[in-house]
Amino acid sequence: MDLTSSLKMATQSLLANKMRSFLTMLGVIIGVGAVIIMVALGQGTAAGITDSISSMGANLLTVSAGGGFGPVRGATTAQLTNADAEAIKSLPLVKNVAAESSTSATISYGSATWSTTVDGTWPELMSIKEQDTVQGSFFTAEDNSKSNPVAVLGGTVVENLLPGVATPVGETIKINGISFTIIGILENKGSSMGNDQDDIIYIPLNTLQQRMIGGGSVRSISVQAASAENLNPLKEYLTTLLRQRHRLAETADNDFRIQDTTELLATIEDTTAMMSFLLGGIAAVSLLVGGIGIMNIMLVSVTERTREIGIRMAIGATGRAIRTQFLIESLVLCLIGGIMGILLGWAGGLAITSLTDLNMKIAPWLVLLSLGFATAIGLFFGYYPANKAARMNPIDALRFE
Amino acid sequence: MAENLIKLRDIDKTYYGAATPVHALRSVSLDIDKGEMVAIMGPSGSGKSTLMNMLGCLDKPDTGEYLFAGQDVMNLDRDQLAHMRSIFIGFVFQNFNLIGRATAMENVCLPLIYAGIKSSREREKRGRQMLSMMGLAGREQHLPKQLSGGQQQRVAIARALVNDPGLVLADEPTGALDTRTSEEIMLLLKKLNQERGLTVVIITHEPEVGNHCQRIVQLTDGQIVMDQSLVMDMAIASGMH
Repeated sequence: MDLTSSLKMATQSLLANKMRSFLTMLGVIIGVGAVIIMVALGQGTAAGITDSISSMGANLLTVSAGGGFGPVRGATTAQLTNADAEAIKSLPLVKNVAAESSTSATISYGSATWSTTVDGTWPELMSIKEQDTVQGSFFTAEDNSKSNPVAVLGGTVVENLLPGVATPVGETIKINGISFTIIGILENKGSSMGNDQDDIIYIPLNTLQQRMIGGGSVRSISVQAASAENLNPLKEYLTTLLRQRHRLAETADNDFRIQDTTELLATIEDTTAMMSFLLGGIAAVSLLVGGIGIMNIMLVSVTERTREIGIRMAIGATGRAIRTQFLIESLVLCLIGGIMGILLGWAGGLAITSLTDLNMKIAPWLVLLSLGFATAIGLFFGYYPANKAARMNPIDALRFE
Repeated sequence: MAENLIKLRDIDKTYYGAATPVHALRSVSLDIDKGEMVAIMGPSGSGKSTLMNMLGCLDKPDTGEYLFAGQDVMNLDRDQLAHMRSIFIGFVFQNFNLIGRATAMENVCLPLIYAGIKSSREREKRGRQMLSMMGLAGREQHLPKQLSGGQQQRVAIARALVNDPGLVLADEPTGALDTRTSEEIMLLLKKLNQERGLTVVIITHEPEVGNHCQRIVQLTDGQIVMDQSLVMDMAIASGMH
C-alpha cells in the first residue's frame, strides 16, 4: 500500500470524527506545548542571566562590603574605602580596577526631570565593561581627582531628559540640584533581565562622594584580571590584602566578599540547565499521558471499526496494510498535535514574555526534539492498537455488529 | 470441457468456540468450473457460510484438499490468503459492506490499492469504468448513504469486479433488497456471468435467487445433500459457449 493512499485514508477517518480526533490530540498538544514553554523559558532565562553577567565584564572579581553570602551582618558601613581600591591597583595580576558607589537622584534639564541611578566610579570601568561613548568621551582620572562636575549619560536618560537635543554634550543638567556638564553619551547596552542598563548616569567617584553623599566609602570594587587563569591567585592576593588593611584577627570572618563572575556564570548555567530539564521532564510526563490517551482512543477506534477491518481484509488487505493504516492514523494525530503544540508553546511563551520580564528562546533542536518525541509517542502508543487490528480474524471481523 | 476453478476434496471444518464442538462442514467435496453460476443453498446453520469462507480464502479447512485454479490453498499463510483474495476473489455481501465515509469511487478503488496499483490515475480510470458498467456513471463522488440499496449493491459489485477476479462470491446478495431490486441485481450478476464468463457463487436461502443459477448445491448439517444442474439454464449457457 502506497503512502499517499495511506495518508489519505488516515486523514479521512480522522476527519470523520473531528471532535474526537481533536480531543485525542489535545493531550499531545498540551504536552508538546508545555515542553516548549518550559524549556524555552528556561533557556531564555539562562541566556539572559549569562548576558547580564558577561556584560559586567570578563575575568572579573567584584569585591563588596559585608562578609559571606546572604544579608550583610552587623554594622557594615564603610568597610571598603577609596584607599582599599587604590591599594588593590598595585597588586600583581591586576589589569583594571574601578571603585563604584551609587545613589538615586532626580535629574533636571530645563523643565524636564528624570529619576535614575547616579553611579560614581573610576574611568577604568569603561574598559572593564568594554563600553564606549557615541558622543563626547568618558571622564578622565583628572576629572576624578579634581571632583569635576561632569556627567556621562546612558541612552535612556538622554531620550527622556533631552529629547530632540542634537548634541547633548556641553549642555548643563542638574543632579539633585547640583549643576553638571554633560561630557559624553554612552553607546546602548540594552536591557538584561528586565534591567535597563542604559538608564544610568556616570559621574566621577570623588565628585559623588564629596558633592552628593559625603564620606570616602565605596559600595563595590571591580577588579579585572589579565586572564581567566589569574582569577584564583588574584582572589587570594585580594583576600590577604584586604584582611591586612582591615586589621582582621586570624579567626575573624572576612568583612567583604569577592564574587567571581566566571564561577557565578558556571553555577547559574548549571542551575538553569537543570531547572529547564527538570521542568521539561515534568512536561514530558504530560506528553506521555497524552500518548496513553492516544492509545486508548485508537483501541476504541479499532474495536468500533472491526467490521471495516473485516471488509478491508476480505477485499485483499494484508495484516501489514491494516497495521500501517492505523499506525499512520496515530502518527498523523501525534504529528498534527505536535505541530499545534509547538505553535501553542510559542504563543504561550510570547504571552508570558510580554507580561513578565522573562526571556524565551526556542532553539531549532527543541522544535525537532518535540516533533521527534511526538512521532515516537505516536509509533509507540499506536503500535499496540494497530497490531490488534492487523491480527483480527477476517471472518469474525466481518460478522461484528 | 470447461476448465476447473475450484476443487474441494473431503473438507472438514470444526469450530471449538462453543461448549460442544460444531462440525460446520463434514467431508465436503465440490468442483466448480470456470464460467459456472452456482447457488449454494441451505437452511441457517447448514454450513453454507462456512463453505463460503473456505471458498473465499477467508479461512482454511481443518483437513481435506482445496485447489483454487490449481493452487494449493491449504498451505498458504495469512498474507498469502490475503493475496489470493486480492487477486482472484471478489466479495459481495448481504448488507453491501461499503466503507461509509468513502465515496463510491474510493470504495471501488480500494481493492486496487491493496493489490499494489500505485498510480492513482490508473486506479481511478478502472474505478470509473466499473461504475459506469454498473450504470452508476455520475455517482462516483456519492457517499454510500446517498445511494439507494440497489445502487449500493451495484457499487459493491463494481468493487468486487474491479481487480478482474476469477470468482465472485456473493453472500445473500439480495437479502437486504426489495423484490424488484433483488431481481435487478440477480439479472446483473447473470449478465456478468454470461457475457464476461465470470464465475459466480451465490450463497442464499431464497429459492428465487437459486432459480437464476445453472446449478444448485444444497447443504444440510454440513454436508452436500444435493447437487443439481438446471437443464434450461444449462442450455442457455451451452448455447453461449
